Amino acid sequence: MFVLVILVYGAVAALELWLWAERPWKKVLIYLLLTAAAAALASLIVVYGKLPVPEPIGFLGKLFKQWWQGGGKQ
Amino acid sequence: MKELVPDHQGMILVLMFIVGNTLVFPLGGLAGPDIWLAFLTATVLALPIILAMARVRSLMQGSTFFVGFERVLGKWPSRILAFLYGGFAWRLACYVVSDVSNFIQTVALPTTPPVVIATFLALLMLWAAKEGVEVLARFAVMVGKVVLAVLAIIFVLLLSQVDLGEFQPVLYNGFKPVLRGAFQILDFPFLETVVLFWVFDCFGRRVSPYKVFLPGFLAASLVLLIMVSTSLAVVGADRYALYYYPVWTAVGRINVSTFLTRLEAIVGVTFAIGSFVKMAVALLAASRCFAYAFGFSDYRFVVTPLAMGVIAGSRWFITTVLEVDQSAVETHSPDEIMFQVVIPLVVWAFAELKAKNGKANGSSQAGGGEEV
Amino acid sequence: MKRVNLVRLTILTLICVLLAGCWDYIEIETLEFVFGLGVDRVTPEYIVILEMVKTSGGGQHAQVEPKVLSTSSGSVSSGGAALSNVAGLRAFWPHAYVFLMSEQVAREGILDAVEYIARSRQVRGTVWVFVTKDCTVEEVFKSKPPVANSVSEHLNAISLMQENISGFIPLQVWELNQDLTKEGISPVLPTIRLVHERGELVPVVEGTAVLKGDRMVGWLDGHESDILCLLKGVFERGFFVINTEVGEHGRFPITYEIVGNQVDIKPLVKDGRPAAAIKLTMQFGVEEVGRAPINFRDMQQTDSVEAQLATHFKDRIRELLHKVQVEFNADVLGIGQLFRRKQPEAWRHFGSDWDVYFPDLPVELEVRCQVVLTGLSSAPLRVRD
Repeated sequence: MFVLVILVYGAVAALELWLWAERPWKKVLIYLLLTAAAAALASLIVVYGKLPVPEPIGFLGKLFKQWWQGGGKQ
Repeated sequence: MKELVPDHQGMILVLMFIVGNTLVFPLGGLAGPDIWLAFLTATVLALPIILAMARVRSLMQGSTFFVGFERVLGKWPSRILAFLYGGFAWRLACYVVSDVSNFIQTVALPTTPPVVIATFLALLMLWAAKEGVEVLARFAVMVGKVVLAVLAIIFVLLLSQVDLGEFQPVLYNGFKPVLRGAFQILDFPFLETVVLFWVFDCFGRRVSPYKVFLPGFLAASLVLLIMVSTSLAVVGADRYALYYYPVWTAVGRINVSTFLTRLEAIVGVTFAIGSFVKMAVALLAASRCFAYAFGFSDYRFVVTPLAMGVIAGSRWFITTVLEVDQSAVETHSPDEIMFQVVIPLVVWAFAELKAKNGKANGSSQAGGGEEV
Repeated sequence: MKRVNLVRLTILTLICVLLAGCWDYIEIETLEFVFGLGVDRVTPEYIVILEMVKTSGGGQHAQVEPKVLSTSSGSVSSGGAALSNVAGLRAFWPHAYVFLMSEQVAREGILDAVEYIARSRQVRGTVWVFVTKDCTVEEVFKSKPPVANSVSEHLNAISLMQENISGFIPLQVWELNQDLTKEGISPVLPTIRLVHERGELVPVVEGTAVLKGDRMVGWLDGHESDILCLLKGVFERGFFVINTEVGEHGRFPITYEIVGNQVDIKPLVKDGRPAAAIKLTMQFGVEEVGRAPINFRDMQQTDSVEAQLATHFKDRIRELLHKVQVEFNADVLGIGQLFRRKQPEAWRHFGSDWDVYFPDLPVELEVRCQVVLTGLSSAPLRVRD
């Protein structure tokens, strides 16, 4: 499954790149980077099932909860 | 290349974006029978932010979005913001795709893996996003007619099942539930409108942003208020919040002399179309933001990777219908407050300051970036 | 241009390939339609009964033959699923018409039985719910309706004709669901009996099972159910044969049909205690007078009939109210709910002790009857002396 996902993402990327009229290296680089990121995410999900979602400002949430006592309760 | 959306089309796009995937969820369920009050409260609370967005867009009149935005905020701050909002819009696209694929799995195709549905949706929205905002807006106008007509018909048919007593007693538990319901509605879907701020490339006239955002938002609010209140009056205030899909359930009750029944499928189709507009807009916003953040004015080349990412992302943030429900009902998560309230207001404040300075210094606009 | 075409071709091909094999497609030949579902017992094990229908042939000549299967299982849904094995076909739920419970299940609490139906995404919320009286669910499903192909269709047809048949109040799952959730209202369910008809057992729907919470506390017969219909504002066209006094000629049985009924229940607070005022307005048609020498052009006679009707219904309503208030202590009219809606402050006060207040809740009663139709003739049939 893992291999299949990588292959599919790679194939789609290759196909689209081939369709481009011109290929400035900057664009190609960013395109490949983003595709790689998407493929990495997909394959991680395929392999591990449930991934934790990063919460860069999650600490703020805890702060809000403290301010608003019982905010989540009836 | 300027992409200009006529005002009325933009308005419909806003309307479809907000109504889009929201209809079937128990919006504002915390408010119980006072749901209509929660809607009115949420509308009033959302207006300042909608107006602030419109005002900022109005201030950069004439120029395309990112040129105008750089003039207001400076180069690097606007790039950073674009990157952040790109992520926010991309996550929204993932959410919407999750919503739809889980909905389809729950009510129609129990054994089809959601990822298959997500893949089809991703393909479709990839296409739509590549066509650009003009095409999307025209598409919104086209399907908007269908969606609104269907909703109107459903509303009329539901009237026979409505029990107005469900709205009584008013404010039995005080104003707090109303407020909590209003926050639910603000968080999803009202203030998700911030994503649209990044989508429109440029507007026709100085008043255009107001003419697009304000009526679009108010009309969407009205449509949702009517549909949600009606279905609450049909399924019962006590049951409304407990269903995953109250509108769907309510429509299942429609029975016109045993011959016109089982109309749920129509709601499903409406939901799918509306969601499609929303996810395409979100993907478009994400692509525009990311492309700009990396320093390109043309965004089309990043659409495909982002759309492929959405397929994965739709299985990442949310996987089951329980989590869909949670994300639709949960309120005041910090990142959403950040993106939907704080940053828009800060941007507006800067834009306002800038406009004042600009007037004071004549037409000089140079060096705007360094001040920030 | 060529490349664009290629992309289109690719997308189209992909869609064709992927969509053609729709994941959830089901061959109709492998389906067995569940028309009716019932629970005979909940403890110690669920006994689940299905009436399934297999269609054969097609078009105008399509044949349906019902089969009744039953199994014991740990829950309703698992029992239903297990019966797919017995049937050798996949049970298809969205076409279910009825859900039946035996008296034993109703007495022990219906929640165990109906929870699945209320939650399920396959069984629709419009399924009719019944309680069987003096018979089991299995017996009902195995009985022979004279016309309909299956018992479930028979019951469905009866429920749809409630207006004209009267004697029961049909109820769908979603309504039951609401009544169970709401404060200040007790659910009622229609009941099924078996009657003998030409040597066969035939199911009829008549009467009402009164619930308190989710437990059945008593029965109402067909006549009482008619009155309950009127008080709940359910439209019905019931026939009533009432011994009516006609002038000095004595009493004659006259048949009246209800052609319109409106009810207005007002929650009141009197001397710090809850009370209610019921105002019932009915329009009648005279269907049959038999030998009664009554002329409806005579206003005096009409007025007298209307007054007698009002008294008659008043008495019947009092009897019913006594039964539900004192015997069952079950607020089937939802007066408590009306309190909550119309007098929220009072409900805040009384609500938690509603069981205490309800049995001796004073009810003011106003009944107005009006004769609006007398068939095609205002005078009785004259027989020449």
